[in-house]
Amino acid sequence: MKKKSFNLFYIPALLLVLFFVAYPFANAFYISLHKWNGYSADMTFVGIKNYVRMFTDAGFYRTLGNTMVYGFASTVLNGILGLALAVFLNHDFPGRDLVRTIVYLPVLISNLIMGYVMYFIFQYDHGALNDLLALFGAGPVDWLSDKTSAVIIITLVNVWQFVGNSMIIFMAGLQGIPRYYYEAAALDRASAWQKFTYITWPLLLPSTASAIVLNLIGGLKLYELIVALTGGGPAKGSHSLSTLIANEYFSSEKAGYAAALGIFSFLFIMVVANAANGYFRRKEQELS
Amino acid sequence: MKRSAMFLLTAAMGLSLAACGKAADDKTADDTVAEDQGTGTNTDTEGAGQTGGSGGDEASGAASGVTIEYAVNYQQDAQASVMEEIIQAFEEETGIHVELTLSGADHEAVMKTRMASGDLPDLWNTHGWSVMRYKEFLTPLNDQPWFGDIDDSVKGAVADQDGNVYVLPIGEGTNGIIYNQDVLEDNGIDAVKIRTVDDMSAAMETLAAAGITPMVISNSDKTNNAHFLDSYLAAYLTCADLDTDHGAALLEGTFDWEASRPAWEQMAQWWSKGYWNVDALSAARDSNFSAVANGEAAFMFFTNDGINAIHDLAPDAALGVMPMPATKDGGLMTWGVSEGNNSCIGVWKDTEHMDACLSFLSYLARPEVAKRVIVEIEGGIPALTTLDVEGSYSIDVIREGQAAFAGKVDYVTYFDQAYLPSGMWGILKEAASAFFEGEGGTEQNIDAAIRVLQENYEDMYEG
Amino acid sequence: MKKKKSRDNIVSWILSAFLCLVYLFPFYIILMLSFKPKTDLRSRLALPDSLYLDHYIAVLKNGQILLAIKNNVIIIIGSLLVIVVVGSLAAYPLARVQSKWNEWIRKVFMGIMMITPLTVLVGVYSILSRIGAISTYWGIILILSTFGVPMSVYLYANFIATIPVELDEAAAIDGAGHLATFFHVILPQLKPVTVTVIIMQGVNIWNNYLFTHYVLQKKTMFTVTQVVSGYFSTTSSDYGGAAAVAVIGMLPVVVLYLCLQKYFVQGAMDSAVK
Repeated sequence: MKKKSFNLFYIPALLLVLFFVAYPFANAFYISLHKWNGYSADMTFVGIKNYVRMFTDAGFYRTLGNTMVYGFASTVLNGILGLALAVFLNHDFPGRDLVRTIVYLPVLISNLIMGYVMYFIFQYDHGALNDLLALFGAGPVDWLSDKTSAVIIITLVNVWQFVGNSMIIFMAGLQGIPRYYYEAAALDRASAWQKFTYITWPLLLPSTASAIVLNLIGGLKLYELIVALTGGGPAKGSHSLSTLIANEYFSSEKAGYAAALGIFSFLFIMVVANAANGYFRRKEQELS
Repeated sequence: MKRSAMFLLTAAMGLSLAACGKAADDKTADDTVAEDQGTGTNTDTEGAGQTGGSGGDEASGAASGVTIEYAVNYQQDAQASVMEEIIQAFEEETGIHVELTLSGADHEAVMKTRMASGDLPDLWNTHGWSVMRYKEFLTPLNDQPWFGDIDDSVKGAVADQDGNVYVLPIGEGTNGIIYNQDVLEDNGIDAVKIRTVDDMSAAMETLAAAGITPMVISNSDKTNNAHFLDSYLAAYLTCADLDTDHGAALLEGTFDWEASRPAWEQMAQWWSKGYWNVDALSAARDSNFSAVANGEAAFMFFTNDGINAIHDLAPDAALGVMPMPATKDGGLMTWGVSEGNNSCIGVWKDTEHMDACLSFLSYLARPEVAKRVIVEIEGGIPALTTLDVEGSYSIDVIREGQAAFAGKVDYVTYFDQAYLPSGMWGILKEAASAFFEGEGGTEQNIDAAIRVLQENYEDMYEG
Repeated sequence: MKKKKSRDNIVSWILSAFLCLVYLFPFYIILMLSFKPKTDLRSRLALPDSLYLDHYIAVLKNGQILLAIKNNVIIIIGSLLVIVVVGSLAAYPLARVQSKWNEWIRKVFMGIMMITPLTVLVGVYSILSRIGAISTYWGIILILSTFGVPMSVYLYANFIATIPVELDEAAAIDGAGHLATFFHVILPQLKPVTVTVIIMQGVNIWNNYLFTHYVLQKKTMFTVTQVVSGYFSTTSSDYGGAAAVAVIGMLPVVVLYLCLQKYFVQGAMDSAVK
């Protein structure tokens, strides 16, 4: 077959990628080797100094830690809660479809707008959650003033918003498992837990692995929600790599450093996503 | 099916070819942004000379039919529609079309991206940064007909070392302490009698005892913490009658931020006594506005924008504004002055339509037009001597404040704009957050805040 | 048996009620905010004294949000056309020809999904400004498509792999070239996965903020997220107006979702489960 003409089919896609991703990305790498304020003509070559600085900055490690929480904790919680919801909403009861509809709804709303709304809930002064606590006689809590609690809240809001997606995916996976497996297991008097570990989990994993990896990537790239909810605060304590890049680039005018962070963030996500893919592939082979 | 699919394919091919062709055309222009800017800077003054005579209204005829872009930093409909009306009238008179670009709160970030890629609007609002940040991209405007009308009080803020001015300053921005007059009166405090930091402390003690939050500050993303430090540090470091003026060292890049420790220690004292809102670290400035509006809090540092914001929330509350108190007995108070945030406009030095831009500026400088800009868009006091403005709430409040403290005040250009490199505004925010973080106000907090300032300040001067 | 069933139902309902509460609470807050005057400084939980519609009236009269919805629709249609056509075309050879080169191309597309858009923002902006694409529909469509294509290539390639190669071969014997085979044999089969692509990418594009916000700088070009964010971030925040705009901006997606729920759910399933 004429392979060459066949390969022409992806030329349009490649062109788009070349112009709007590859070139800008190379440009970002170039910037990362310079000290630059992000706009002036004045640009000084500094070699790998921005990278050295990154690895010696305590703030960077905190941000990296946060990013991992946003990625991994969100993914794990999405997995557990999504599966629980899928199991719960997979069995039949009146009104089930309505609940499904409602749980899935936030998935469709902009992360940014949801962040603004969530701010009204977690705000100290006149925040809805504190007003709710007051109804039960409890004093107000300054939810977003502590780094750890800010990171936890961002993670939970992220899970809250997107768990509907995991739920749907797990539902599809569950429906793909042949019923007679369970019937056979029931004949063998298998416990519910045994059914889960020997049938549900191994059969669910391969079909949902890609969704889990995408979830992970999404969490590691989290941006809009943080911007709207905490702006990376308190005291830069809830930044993800993405929001830190924006902060360093636009607010602190350290474009070179921001670009270095961006290159690192790309490599980091790539390594993590590849590792996760490899892990699931191995698991898949073990299980089959 | 087949036909529509073919159509889609053709469309996609067309698009990608177009992208390809364009990009190829621009190959030569590639990577020369920096160069362009370099040569541009050299011809700066020449350019201004050439356009010299063509400034006034008479130029408009020649420029008729062109379209120029004006980027502004407000996004509120009320402000934007006023500008649109002005633009409409201008277009009817001159035939020049002005396109308004609104990036609102993200104006700064958008402008930075545009400067980086060498694609600037013909005119834009410089929000205090005409000299420090935008100078290399702006045209000097000293030869313009309205130049002589610029009020002396704002000249220091808008002129560079050589006396070049790069904006038409219509309004003047002020950064001071906004207070709720009713709350102070109820507690027997006369704001006009507050002259020193110690007076301030005493007033705050009275307020705290009465269950009022004496002062509000916010350290989240949308903050007033940098506004606070901007006024506050000026009083400690650069006020005209200080025994040691740190201004020279600050400008040289040799300043040791340890010298700001007394200022931080005073803040620590206020914090430990509970003079600030407990949610200082997580609050956004909107909750500060509403706290002052509904009388839960008394003082708040902010620019003239804040007066209108609070007035909007509580039209009946009586507001006042005052300068930052002096750090020593009988000393001068400091009051920050700058280009008005929403009403100072510069012209891109490489604009293709210089005449049209300049005639738009001249139009804006006309008293009857400028007055609208001042009252309905800026809400600050006029920066042009030709303007006689009355009847705007915030302007009245500012004027009352200025009258009440007359003779006691050193009017200074915003501290960061006068003494710090561009980019330090964000660092001021960071330092303030570091001070309030965790327990807040401890020795470690102060060390952290000073370290943030020192490290970033050094970094910006290095290399 | 029946008794067990009804007890089961009650437990389910209690759980469901809790879920609904947790999920509807934020929507309740924003609705309340949009129906209260700016000067109402009471608790956000409180119901408004009367049905206060001024925010909605002001926002609609201003008309920007309606214009933004129109912009969103134009941008979505344009981007989806590119994403579907370019994506499915690219996926075809990738799914059919196993070669080192194609494996590499595939990796490139996957890699793009991992890029933090901020990294490439300045580069993207300077290209767009050089080709005069700032504040144009085609500019934003090109850039949103670029970042949507990898996902669609991935979905299409997975799907095409399940279409028997014999079909292609039969067409080839009949003398059809690749292009003809693609349009006659493959494309007609891609309907279900195209629905998935349209829904997943459509939602993404509707909600995009990062790129729209830098590329579209003219008021008349603003998208929904930009308008909402603008209301939230002015100095004297008009939260009532912001809430009203947010509600109006959410409406089209929510209504579409409620009407076409089946497709949304199917789309979400197909996007992940092979």
